Amino acid sequence: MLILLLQVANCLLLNFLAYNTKVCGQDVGSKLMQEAFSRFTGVHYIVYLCPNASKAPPFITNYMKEVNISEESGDLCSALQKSRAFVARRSDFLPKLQVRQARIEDNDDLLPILRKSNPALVNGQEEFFLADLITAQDERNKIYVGVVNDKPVGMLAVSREINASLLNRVFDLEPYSGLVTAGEGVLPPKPVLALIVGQLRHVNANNVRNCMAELGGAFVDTYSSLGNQTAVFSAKTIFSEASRAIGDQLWFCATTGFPRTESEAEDLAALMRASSSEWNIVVIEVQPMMNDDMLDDGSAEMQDPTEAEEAMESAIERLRAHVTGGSVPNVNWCNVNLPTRDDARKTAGNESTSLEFRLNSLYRQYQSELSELREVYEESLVANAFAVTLFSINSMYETRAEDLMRFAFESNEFVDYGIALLPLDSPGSSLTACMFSPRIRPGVSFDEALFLVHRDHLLTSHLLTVDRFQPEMASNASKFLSTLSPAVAEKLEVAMGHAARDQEVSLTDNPLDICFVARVRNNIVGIVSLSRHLTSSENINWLRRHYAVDEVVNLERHRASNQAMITQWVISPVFYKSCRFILKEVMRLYEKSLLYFEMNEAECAISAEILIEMSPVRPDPNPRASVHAAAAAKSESADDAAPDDDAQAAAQLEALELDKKIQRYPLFAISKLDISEAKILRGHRIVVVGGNASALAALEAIVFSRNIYFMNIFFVSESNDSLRTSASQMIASHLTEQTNLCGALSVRDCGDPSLAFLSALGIEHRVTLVTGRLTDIDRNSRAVVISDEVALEYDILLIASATQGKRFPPIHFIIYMCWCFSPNSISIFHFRCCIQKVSINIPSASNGQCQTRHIWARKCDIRCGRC
Amino acid sequence: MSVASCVLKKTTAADVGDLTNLINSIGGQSLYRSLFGSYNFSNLIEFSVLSLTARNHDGIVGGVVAFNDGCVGAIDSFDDIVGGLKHGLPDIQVCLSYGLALALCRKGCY
Repeated sequence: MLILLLQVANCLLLNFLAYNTKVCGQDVGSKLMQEAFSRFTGVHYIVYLCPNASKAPPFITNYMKEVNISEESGDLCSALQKSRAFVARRSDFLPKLQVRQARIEDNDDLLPILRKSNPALVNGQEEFFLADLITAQDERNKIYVGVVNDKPVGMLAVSREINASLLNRVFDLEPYSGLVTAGEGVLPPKPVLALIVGQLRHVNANNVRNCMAELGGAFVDTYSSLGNQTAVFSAKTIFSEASRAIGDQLWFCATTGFPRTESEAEDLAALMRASSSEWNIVVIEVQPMMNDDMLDDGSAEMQDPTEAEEAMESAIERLRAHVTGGSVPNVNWCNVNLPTRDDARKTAGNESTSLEFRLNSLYRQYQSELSELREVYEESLVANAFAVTLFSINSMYETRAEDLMRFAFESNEFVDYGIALLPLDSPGSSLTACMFSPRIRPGVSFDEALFLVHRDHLLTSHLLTVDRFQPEMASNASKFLSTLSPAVAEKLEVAMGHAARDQEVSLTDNPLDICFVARVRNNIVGIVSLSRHLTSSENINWLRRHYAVDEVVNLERHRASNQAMITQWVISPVFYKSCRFILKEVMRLYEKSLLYFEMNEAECAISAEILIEMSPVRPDPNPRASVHAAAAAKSESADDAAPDDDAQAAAQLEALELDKKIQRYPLFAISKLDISEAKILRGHRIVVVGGNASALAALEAIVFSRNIYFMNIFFVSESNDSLRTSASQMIASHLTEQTNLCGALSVRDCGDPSLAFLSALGIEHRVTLVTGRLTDIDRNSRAVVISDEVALEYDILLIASATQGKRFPPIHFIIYMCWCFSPNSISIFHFRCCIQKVSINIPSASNGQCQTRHIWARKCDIRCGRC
Repeated sequence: MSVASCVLKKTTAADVGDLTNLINSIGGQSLYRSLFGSYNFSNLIEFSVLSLTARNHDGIVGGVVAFNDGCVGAIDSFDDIVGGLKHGLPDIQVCLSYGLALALCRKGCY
């Protein structure tokens, strides 16, 4: 049993307590205290300071014990000198579990608990199936029991037999280093990076992009972005993009227009040398068939197409000379002759000279080798984890589920992770509350969600502290930054540089820029930077004009000086679930009651979990103009004349137009009030079909749900424009193309939302876009077919039809959850927070008689009927 | 009144009136001011790390609690208070769990 010392991080102050036992029963005080400990699993003490002049009443002393504070222990602060201190311990309200390995005689005590929590599991089983499981324990399969007063109250069954290959194929496990590892002596196949250089103006980037997509590879087009401008891509960007593609298991990546100079070639070679992966690099030089239009502009760029690969080769050779026992990237080069524009007409269809043909043959050259190596590699994967196969606990001790997991980690001392697979529509459990759920890989359909937790998070979370960054922490910070990608590390370094300017300003003096580090002992596991430059009174007013901040927080009660903007947030994936604790500590140390985050991906480094914990703020589709500011600007040119009504109206219109053009980013906010309320994660696969205003309204309602975070949202829409790849752009393209906005307009229906507004909604960050047309619905399999090709499984299907058919009666509420397709009562319940309950009559599929059903809906207009 | 009928929820701004009625019915504001200092329910709700309200099945508020992780506006910092309290608590010794002890035995630490 681990008993923790009283610390600031594991302690709360009791600010107020009052109850009437005649109204809520004798134990209401105990229930209130118990609920507080339940909500904050890291809090082990509650402290109350009673003024010396007052006598602590029984309703306090019933639950808290007085602490003898002796002045001999040192100088006491004035608060303690004037008060008596009382402390309540967690274990007084939530008894700890004594955990041991299960014994056969535990069967009788555990079966009722199991039957109550998992009735479907127990039904149909033999009477002593649990005893058989307990008897069958071995080194790789164990069952642990939590005991209170010698009576079992919960159980946890774990197994080391895990299909690591399946997990790696389905889930994105890249951030969780060490979770799956290759077998001994097996190395991952080397990914292929094709660098296309030379006369790129003859290269059709769209064709190359489509070709790479068909090959299942990634394409980074730097040349089209460069034009005549200075390079925005560096070796770091290319390497980062290629690494990300490899992390997504796309073993083939192509890029155009890079490297352009010898130094760029050296930078890329150095990055690859330093990386943990090995690479196959192919440099493809593109030369025109007529070979008569060489560039000669005297720039630093290489003028001869062959210079690129020669520079790359020489850089690799120099590295090779300094390698001691390491590996260097292999470089091969091949040339492709492309026809000029004139020749293209003559040689149309001559595939043997096309770049796409060369990419295809390159892929085939490596494909068989890669496929074989990949198969060997994936079959060899082992999981450095135990899997929870069965969990059940008495409801009174649910918050003690972590005690069982801790014991499991202590018993499996060579295992770093604990995982659990649960159905996507599962409501979750107290066990998964301490676990994080990695995303499913794009394009993969799977009906279970993976939850995982690292042993460091469970066993050392009591050692996690948040402190202001100090210069003496620089070396530890460097170690943390070295584990991140170069782009992210660079952003953090810039933020830390800004914070260093206010290093001498104490926290009580409210520095403008500040940086905090999350540490376990001296090891930095996260860096957070904040700024008050962006939360001046003027900026806050701007936010209020452009976003519905008042829907999320009661802004009137928060002074500007108590608000701050998070500018960078990077936490080690192992401690993702400590996000709320870190937010709480940052707010406490920085004395802030409200934090914002603006998701500008070009400038912010962000870890995924912060977007789950913070509440998204809806952008205002019609931002209110600052009339006074605009009028004042106009009146500056006038001769001391106050702006008349016409000028004011014109100024308002001008300011409004200006506001609409200003780039807005998705905004998130969290106040102290929300810290204790963890978001409810739901893995239901929600498929929204239809690129129209109704679909937009539905997506908006789902994404901006305050208390629930839906992890799997799919948006199906058709688009002919391959360049419009984001969900926002897809919606925008449909809204501008259609003159009749789906026939059933949303209540908000006010013109087409601008692309800026759609970008500020941040939908594309939450929604997976599936391009295509809905061609079939398979109700038995609960799947929709897209363009006769792709099957997309759903738990909730929402069809926002653009038709205005007269056959079906209109329903004046949206989010009709296709009740006839998905009558899962759990999925309907979860929408309660954002929509209201209505009753509708639906003809039954079996006998045609109308049945009254309850649905949760929000105001809009969608026509629907039985399909 | 059975405990089972007691429902706990996060306190909202709409509960302020009910909370005032509760205080008036169980001793009055002067008592609670002497115990908890000058309080303001709206501020307690907005700026507490956690504030909970207990209601019976009739919806009548029967209890309220509010916690914070610091002393907003106080002279002494939370760190000073906790630092002073540490000395007042009994000596705490870290005891190994059975599993951890077993693992260390296997490694030959004992």
